[in-house]
Amino acid sequence: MAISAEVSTTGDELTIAVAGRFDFSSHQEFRNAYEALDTTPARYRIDLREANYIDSSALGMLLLLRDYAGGDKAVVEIVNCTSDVRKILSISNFEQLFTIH
Amino acid sequence: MAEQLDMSLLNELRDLMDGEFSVLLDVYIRESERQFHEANEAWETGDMDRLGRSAHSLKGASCNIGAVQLADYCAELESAAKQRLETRVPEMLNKVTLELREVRDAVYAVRLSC
Amino acid sequence: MAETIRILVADDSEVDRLLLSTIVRKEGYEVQQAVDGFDALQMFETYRPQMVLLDAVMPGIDGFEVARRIKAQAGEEFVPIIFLTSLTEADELARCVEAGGDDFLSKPYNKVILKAKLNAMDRMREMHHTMQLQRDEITHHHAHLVQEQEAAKAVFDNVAHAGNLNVPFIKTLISPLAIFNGDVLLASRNPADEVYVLLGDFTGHGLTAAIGTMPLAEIFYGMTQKGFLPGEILREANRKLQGMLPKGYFCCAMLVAFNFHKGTVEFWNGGLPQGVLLRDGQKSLVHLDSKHLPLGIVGDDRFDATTQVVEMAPGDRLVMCTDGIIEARDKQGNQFGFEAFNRIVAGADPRVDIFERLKDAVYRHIGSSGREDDITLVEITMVLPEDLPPPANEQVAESVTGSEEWRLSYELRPRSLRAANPLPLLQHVLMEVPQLRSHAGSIYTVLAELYSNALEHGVLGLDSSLKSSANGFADYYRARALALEDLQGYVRFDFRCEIEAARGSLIITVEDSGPGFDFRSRLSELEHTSRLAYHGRGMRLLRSLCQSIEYRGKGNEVEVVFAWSEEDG
Repeated sequence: MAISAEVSTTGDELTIAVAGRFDFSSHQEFRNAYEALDTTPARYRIDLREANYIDSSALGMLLLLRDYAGGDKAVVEIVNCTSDVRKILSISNFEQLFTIH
Repeated sequence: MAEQLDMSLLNELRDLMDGEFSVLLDVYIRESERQFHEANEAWETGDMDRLGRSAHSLKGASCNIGAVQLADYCAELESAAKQRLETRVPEMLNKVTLELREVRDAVYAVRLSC
Repeated sequence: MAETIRILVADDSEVDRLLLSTIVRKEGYEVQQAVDGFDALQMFETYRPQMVLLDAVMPGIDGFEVARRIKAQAGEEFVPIIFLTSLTEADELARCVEAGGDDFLSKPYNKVILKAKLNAMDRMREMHHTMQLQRDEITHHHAHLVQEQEAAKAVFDNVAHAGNLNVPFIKTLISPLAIFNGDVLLASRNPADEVYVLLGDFTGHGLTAAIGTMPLAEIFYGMTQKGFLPGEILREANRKLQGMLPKGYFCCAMLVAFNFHKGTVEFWNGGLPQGVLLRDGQKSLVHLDSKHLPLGIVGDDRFDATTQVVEMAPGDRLVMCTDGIIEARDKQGNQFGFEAFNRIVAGADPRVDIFERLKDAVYRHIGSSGREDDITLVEITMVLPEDLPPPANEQVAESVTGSEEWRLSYELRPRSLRAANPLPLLQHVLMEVPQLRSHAGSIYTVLAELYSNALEHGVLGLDSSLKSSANGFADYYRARALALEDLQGYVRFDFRCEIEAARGSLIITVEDSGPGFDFRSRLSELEHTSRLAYHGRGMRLLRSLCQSIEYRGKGNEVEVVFAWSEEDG
């Protein structure tokens, strides 16, 4: 699992890309990606194009991010999901909490 | 006399040993005597292994005291004994005998000046 | 180190011994001498040096053998050995290393070099010692953790399997690894003889997964046995878990509530793979999809406790599982998968044991991959009410005195009708009467039926004939939810109890604000049909439990008499 983070030029959007297995071993890195910033983005984008596996601890990490980003007021998008990942997100009905493409 | 012993090494030993320097020299004299005696006995009884070990021991002590040439001769004697070189052994034993005499004289001299 | 380090110098040359001892002592170490191999071994045992300077060639036992024996005797402790050698041949030096030597010192001895080597060896010794301490600490912690896991497991075993419900129509499989991974299976019977089953999957493993199990079980068992509705139990469970679980932790869950009298199952799925309903004799499957967020994520205001109701005839089966089965992997790492699951469930001859087939298929898939099975699987078959085993009867010590003659009126208006289910409270009050306690089940069933009729048909005005159409159930309950939102009206309960020596009656009158119905023709209709239309079952059930039923007025008032005598038991 590799995690990379990029802030948009305007500084109001943070994109975190996760590659490989998105599971418990990603925990610390994922948190650092959004906690260690100087700025507070208005929007978050999680790019899962390269993620081939996602488990319940990854769902938990997404919840943590959402909470950090303001809970119900947070704007968090999850994009480029493979069909497997999409299926897991939909069984958990996470589209009720996140915008999923 | 100066050629038998490495004086700079000896001076270092003198510093290291402090008041015990003369003791070290006495020990060497005593020990080299003993080891040389053993070597000869071994040669006379034809025990090459024992001869090799004695030569090895004398080599070590001599090296530490700064008697470089003597140590080298001992090394060759040790090697010859191990390889059972019938003529080389007595040749080296001879060289060791002569060099040891010189070294002992040199050590006595140093001992006297302590 | 506080204590002085002890060094053993083993050399057959007195010159060498003297020289080395002097150097070593001057460096602040304590030193002892050994004159040959035997002496060296003996001194190692008695003097217990922390480091050894060892002559490679000695008479008697040679240095290599001495080194080997010293290392063996030192065991786990690291005792560095520095070989004293004038050996220059590479293979002879190799012998030193093979024998366990950690370094060499060649002649003539140089105090600077020896000092450096001793220091280096000392640092290594300390590092080794620290690592050992850490290793021991880790081992200790690990042992402690293992102990805690076992305690957690013991708790689980009491809580997380199918409770005290040992009925033949519920088949369960929950493997030890599944329990460790947070799977929970709870089952209970409520006062109306409905069976509620809750399958849960907590995030995390071991202790983190165990944390939520206890409160969930307490809420589930407590509320089910008091007669609360599935939605209420789920709401309370969500509230509790959301409050106590750390952020990011949640519980995927599915609650299924079986009503054997009505032949229905009410379900809610938040986050588990879809449950499957197999109709006896048919190939079609009904999917019980996950439509909600798992428990413990959102607050009470956002939590959706809406359940769905589906008909189930005797012989129909409901199968549910956690993702352990779907994700079970073979040697190559391939998952068992949804397709395989659905294929086996759909393709099987309905008379064939689905449960065993699924089990076999998953175990075959895992095969010899060496992976442990993480499997939780539940199958529940609908049965006729008469096939329900009798409930375990709790002998409640009956008090001699108690309410013997009393009246209770309870009226619910729009806000209460919308928000709360009054049945647990009413049941609780009725159970204050000792003589009623052994009839708890029947009484609750009667209450539930009367309330449901009053609320749904009376106040909400829903047409129960909707239920028997094809999409009926879904439509009916959707309409119910809508109607609840802006209802006007009331439901009123009146209780009166008349108790004599060995018998008594509980008279329940229920009145609703609805328009009533033509009860006379409905009743005569019932006399003449044998068809078990859903909307007829309510009345038949009431008839079977009560001594009498009397509709009054427009049909929006009904009085039932529940009678008993001591002989009934």
